Amino acid sequence: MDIEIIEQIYAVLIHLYPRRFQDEFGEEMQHVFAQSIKEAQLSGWRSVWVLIWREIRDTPIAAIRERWRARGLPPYVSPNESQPDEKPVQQWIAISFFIIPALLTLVDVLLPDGALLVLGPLLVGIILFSIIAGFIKGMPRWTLPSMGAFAGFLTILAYQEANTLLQPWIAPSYRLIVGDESLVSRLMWQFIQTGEFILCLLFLSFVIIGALALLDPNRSPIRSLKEDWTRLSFLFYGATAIIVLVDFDDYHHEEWAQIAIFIILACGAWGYLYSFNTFGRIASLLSAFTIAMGILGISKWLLAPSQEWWFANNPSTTDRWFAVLDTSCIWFWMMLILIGPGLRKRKPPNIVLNLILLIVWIFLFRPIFPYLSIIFTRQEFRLNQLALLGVIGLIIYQARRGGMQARFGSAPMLYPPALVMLLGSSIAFVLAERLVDINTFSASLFGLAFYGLLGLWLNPTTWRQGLPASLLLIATLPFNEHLQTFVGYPLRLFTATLVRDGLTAFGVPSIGIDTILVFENGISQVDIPCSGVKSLWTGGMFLLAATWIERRRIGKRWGLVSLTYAFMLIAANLARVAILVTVGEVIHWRLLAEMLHVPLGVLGFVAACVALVWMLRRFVPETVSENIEASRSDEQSKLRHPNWLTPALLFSILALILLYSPRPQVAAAQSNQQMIFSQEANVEPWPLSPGELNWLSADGPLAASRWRFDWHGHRGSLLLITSDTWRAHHRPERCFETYGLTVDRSYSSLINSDFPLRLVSLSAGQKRFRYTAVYWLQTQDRITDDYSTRIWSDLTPERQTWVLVTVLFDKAEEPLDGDMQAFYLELRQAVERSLQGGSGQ
Amino acid sequence: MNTSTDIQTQLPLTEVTYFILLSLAPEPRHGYAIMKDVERLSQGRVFLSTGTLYGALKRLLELGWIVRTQDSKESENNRERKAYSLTNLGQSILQAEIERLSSLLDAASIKRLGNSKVIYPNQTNH
Repeated sequence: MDIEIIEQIYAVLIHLYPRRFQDEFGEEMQHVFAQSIKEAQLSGWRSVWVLIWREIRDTPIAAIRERWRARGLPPYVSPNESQPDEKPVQQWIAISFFIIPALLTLVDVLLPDGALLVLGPLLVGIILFSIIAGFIKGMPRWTLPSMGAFAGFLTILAYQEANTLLQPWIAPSYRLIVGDESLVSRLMWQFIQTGEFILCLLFLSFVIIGALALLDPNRSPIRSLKEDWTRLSFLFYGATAIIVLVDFDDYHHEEWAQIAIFIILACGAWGYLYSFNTFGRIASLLSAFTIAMGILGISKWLLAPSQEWWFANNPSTTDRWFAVLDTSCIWFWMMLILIGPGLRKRKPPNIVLNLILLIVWIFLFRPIFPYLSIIFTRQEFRLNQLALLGVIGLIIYQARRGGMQARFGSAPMLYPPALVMLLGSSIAFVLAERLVDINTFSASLFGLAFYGLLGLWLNPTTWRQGLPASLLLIATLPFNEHLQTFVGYPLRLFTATLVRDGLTAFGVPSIGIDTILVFENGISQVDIPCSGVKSLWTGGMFLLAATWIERRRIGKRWGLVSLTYAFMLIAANLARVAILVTVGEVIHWRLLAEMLHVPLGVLGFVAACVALVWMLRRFVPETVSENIEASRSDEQSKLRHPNWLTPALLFSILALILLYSPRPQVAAAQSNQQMIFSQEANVEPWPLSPGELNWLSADGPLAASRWRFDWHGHRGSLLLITSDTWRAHHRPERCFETYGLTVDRSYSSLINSDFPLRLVSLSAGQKRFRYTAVYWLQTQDRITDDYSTRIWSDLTPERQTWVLVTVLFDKAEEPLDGDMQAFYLELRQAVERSLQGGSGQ
Repeated sequence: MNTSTDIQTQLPLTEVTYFILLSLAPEPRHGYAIMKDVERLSQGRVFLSTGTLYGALKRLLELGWIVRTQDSKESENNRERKAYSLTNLGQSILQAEIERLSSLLDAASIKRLGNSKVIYPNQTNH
């Protein structure tokens, strides 16, 4: 943890002591604490935590003791504080602005209507009197709540007018932002609208103040504001009364909550008027307003189901949450304008600004968190989870060894590489979510952006050194599927070609590429490891880890070593396949080939890794030198911490949040269950078991169904998976292998010019049982048997609904028989009808 | 409150007060030095948090047992540091407390000698 942050937290804790005590000893205490922390740091972090614990434990007790001792003393006014200048009557007029509405509501509940005739005019009288006095006397403090309410009332009128006028522009924005009607989208829209309302309130308040200043020759409103800017906060605080009344307008039985809210607001006003300093005044307003909004939100949650309009609109739980959470939008914006004037002469602590930046950034990347939670909790990603734990352990170890050198207590640094990484990855994320929608890719960008963000506070040297660690962390994401699709197959083909050419060169009888592929696959029964992709991927992670642990500099030499290492991994895989093919297919010792398969793979990989470590140590220079500390501080001192950087970053990320728009979905086709097959096919539903359905539904298909068919005596099962994302479509070969079948052969064929399909020969029980399977992927207007084509089609701006059609015959069949082809065409038409029916409705 | 009777009414001192006065006895010290000195004098038994230290210093200032002075040494960031030193009254009270503790210790020594006779009866002939 950053020492500066600890010191800043301690500085906040000092506010627990009485003001007199703070003024007398506060500065000294901070100085002593800072010295103690620095000394404890020399003995290690354990000592620091012991010291922090001791302070956390003792400070509240000491503060209570001092406050108890100070209770009998006369009120204390700091040298830079001012005592209230109103008369008690005036103070009570200001407070009664909140108390009378509470009393009015109470009377309305308990007494007959006639009693309102006394209190109602009294409230109106106080408001009018205060507004007039405010206009005449230059806005003294006691008139501010009433004037704020007046500004709030004008804002509501102006806002309604503006909304009507701007409707043609607002409606498209609404459709863009709240397209999916989700809770988050609706809240975002509410957030924007509340922001507009608050801007309107600010504008009108300044118009009123400006008008008063122009009318008053002494410019007393401006002078009094310059003396104490918190007056502006008190003015806005008055508007909260109007906001509460408007927000509760649609509700019945809200009286008790309203009474509580107005009493709390009255307490806040009292605290403001009787506080001597800015902190006390702002804290009174903020705490009262926060409690009031809390009561408002909770009571809306409780009252919503008992409202008449609630049932009329057929609400859901989301609506109920929305009714509560929209209060948080008001709270957020009001808090900003209540705090703002208090901070006018003092910049908010860096830690607060950094925290806001972090929260806004996390909000931008919020869509990726559900995916990450799935990746790092689901059982099928256990390997990735273990890798993640390993990398985190490594990072903690390295961080303890080398020190993080982070300064989260200071303003962000203008360090271009980190800044480019942060903004570049964030922009790429927004684009990827709109155009590509591959979760692993988005999650990688999240990782990169996070490391870029970290670079704004980390020492640049440390940041560069930690780059491999961040890439290593990203590499724990499940990339296998994508690599297998985009790299794996071409690489396997390339390997098989090279092996064939190599064997031919050595005079070994020519063996076809298909034979090598099928043989290789048959040996391993698992597709991925044999492609060499996994060894490249694992090797890549090893390279990053070795670079980081060995602290080697990433540069040209490192690049050359990496290339050599990649070449060695590919060569090791080539050699392995060549040996396996020679032993199994040329010498016909298949059992030996099966036995050699794994040891050869491990041997090649380990040899390449050993060579890599040797090359790194021999050829790549270390990043850590003797004068590293000097160079660190030198580099860090050269970097600037410009004041504009935090607002600029906040603005950029907020703009990206507004621009964020996920990929639109084409309406789903009708369920597979409603498919209409010809009677000739004798198709009957064969329900999936709960376990199968659960497994198939994991990646979000629109529909999954299974059928039995009997086409002229050819029996088998039919599986249809409808999805608008490629993730829900798994390569059927993998599914067959999962069910214990061996894929003997998988090849493409054409039924006609626009109907390719893939034919798969399967076997089980040491080839005693043989089966035939056929599959293709189909949309309304195209068909493919290529899985990569399916994935790439997701890169088009609008999603298409695809159906994966898999036919598994009960025995080995002649799949291209004319009768079979008619069956495939029949199936194709049934799927086409289903897709057209769904989209056309 | 300079009479010895008045001083006696202030005794016994709390452990924290005693160690702070003891720390200030040789020379004026600033807050951090007092904190470290108390830890050393108590052989690591008494750790003062900043709140406890300054709460105690405030009361000692109010009682007039210590006064605030300017520290002759500058801190590492050249900031003026406030130091604290004992007043005559503070010195007298510390002296009285030391004497009180000495007398307690003497009493304990006598008792211990008496006990030793009980523990080692074979030594009574000597």
